Amino acid sequence: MEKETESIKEPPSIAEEKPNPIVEIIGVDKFYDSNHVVKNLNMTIYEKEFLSILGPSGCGKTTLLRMIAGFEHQTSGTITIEGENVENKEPFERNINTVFQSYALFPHMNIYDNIAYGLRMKKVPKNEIKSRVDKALVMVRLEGFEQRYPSQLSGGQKQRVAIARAIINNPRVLLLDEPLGALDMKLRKQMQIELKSLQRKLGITFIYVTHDQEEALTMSDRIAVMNAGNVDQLGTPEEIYARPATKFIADFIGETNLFEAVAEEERGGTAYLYCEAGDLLGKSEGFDPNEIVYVSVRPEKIRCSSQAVEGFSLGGVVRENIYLGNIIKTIIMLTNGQAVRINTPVDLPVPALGSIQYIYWDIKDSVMIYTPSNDIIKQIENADFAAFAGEIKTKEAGNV
Amino acid sequence: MQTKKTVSLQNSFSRLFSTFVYIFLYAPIAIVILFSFNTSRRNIIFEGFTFSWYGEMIQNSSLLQSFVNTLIVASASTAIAVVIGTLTAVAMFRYRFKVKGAIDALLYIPVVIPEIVLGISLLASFAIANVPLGRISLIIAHATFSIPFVVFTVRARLSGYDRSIEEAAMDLGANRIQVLTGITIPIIAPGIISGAILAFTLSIDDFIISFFTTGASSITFPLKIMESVRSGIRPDVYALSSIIMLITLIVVIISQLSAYKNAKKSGK
Repeated sequence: MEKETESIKEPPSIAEEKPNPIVEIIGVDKFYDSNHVVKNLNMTIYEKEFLSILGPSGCGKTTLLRMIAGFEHQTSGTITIEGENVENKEPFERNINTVFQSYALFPHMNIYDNIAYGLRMKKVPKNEIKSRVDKALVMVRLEGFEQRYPSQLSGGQKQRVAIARAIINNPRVLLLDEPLGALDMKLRKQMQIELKSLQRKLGITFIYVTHDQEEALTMSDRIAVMNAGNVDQLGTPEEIYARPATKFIADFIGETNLFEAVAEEERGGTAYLYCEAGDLLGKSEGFDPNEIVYVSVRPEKIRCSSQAVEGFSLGGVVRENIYLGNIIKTIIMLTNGQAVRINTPVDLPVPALGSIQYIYWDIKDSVMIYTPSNDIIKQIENADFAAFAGEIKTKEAGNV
Repeated sequence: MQTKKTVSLQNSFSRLFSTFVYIFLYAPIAIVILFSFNTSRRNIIFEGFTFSWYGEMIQNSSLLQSFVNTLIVASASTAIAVVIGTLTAVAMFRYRFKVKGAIDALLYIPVVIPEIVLGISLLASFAIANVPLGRISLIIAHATFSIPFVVFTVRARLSGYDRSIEEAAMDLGANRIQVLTGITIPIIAPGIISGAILAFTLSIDDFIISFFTTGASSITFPLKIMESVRSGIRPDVYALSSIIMLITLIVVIISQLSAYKNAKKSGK
């Protein structure tokens, strides 16, 4: 028992000592013509951590990675690597390596020459190259493939060569741009675990770009969720899953049920809210009366009963019970037409199809998401319309 | 279902047809080789076997001179066309610029324009630029019509090329020149080589443009043959033609063999 708690505490290497920043992104903007793809972005990446940059396609995550590698230049802002501003450094002058989505192996070289390429560029002696290539091949389990050509390898093997080719140079930071994107599901899961253990073994920083939230949750020490050029949240997988900062993240990471609700009052740590389908409870976070909040509740946290539970009046009809192997997914249609998803372990009873059920949850399992739309409403409320109208009038007078 | 009989009938017909195609293609070449060994001066009847025309060919200094001249012009114009054509293809693949579409379209003009028009316009240009007609003007003219062919073959090779390969090389510490010499050029080499072969052969057998753009001092082999036709072709021209064919055949076999080896190596 004691041993177990210890092993849980151990892995996140960040927690141990005071971590050293290795890559710092300070106020970075990137424009493609008038297209603002990365917006005033700030991020610190620490030594030896596995950081994922997670976001939908087009959110600017690959652009950010390419700026760190040196293939793109930021429009403004600073990127430092090991404390040094890399503004004027070419990709070949930076002590970082990249694993590309398309592998980008050299088609005219065999596997040995592919992996040795970086060392040859650094003019490392021949026998040292030999021993390091052999070691790298063992590490990615590709011994005996030296004489093959990239076109003779499978996707997973090509991926391993690409990783070996990058890590052989002992970079301080390894950038990975959706490296598992082209692999099938099973191989992907296997490679996720391999990559994670490789990262621990090598003790180098991995910056891993992906659009797959499950992949990010599986492997990362920290996840930066990007959306439309901004980092919406940066935290551990647990934080991001349990306490998503925005509606977008709650929706994007894992499966969730979102209720758009209005705060009525708060009493004793409980927020009393109502939505279109009825009343619900949430955590008290000092809301203003009539403020709009989103309540996010994970499918495994929702329960149902045939009687309304105090504080809740969300009733609906059971529409589906879907068997998914380890869980049963129940879909309940609320009175306003919202479909609520509930996951129940297979060994527990599920409500009968067509029956009327009331849903509820423990308030500690609800996540309250503040919406930026409240800011707009507040601004409108506080705006001095009289002055504004006066301004327009004087302008019109001037024009005439 | 087809009966056995109709299948065998179809087979024999297609065999017959392809035999005729090959006769049609290769009979004229065979005749040239045959008559290079003919004892008769006239090339209508085969009278007897002799090697003497090959000996006479070696003695015929003006014929040999024209052939050497052809080789010099072909090599020089190919070299120029390969350098300019490859750089053009790489630039057009790599960069986006405003006049790209126009340049693309303009490249086809030297290919589709009647050679005689190109010949006259080159002649006029040389006259305006005060370039004396001779070997230099000939090399420039040949390079002009060869460049588009090199651009096309190199670009075809580049079409499947992944730019991230170059980025990967740079990421691994190669500077721009190392990327060009170690990665880009080796990968597009097959395109460059086939472009060069194309340019070389086009230059060797060009008649019309050479006719307009050369002076008396540098007569090429096709021009020499044309000249001798007026007084009746002598069998030593056949002898030289046979040797050229033999050389071409060897080059084709070598290039095919190396292509086959390459394909085997990369497992395709």
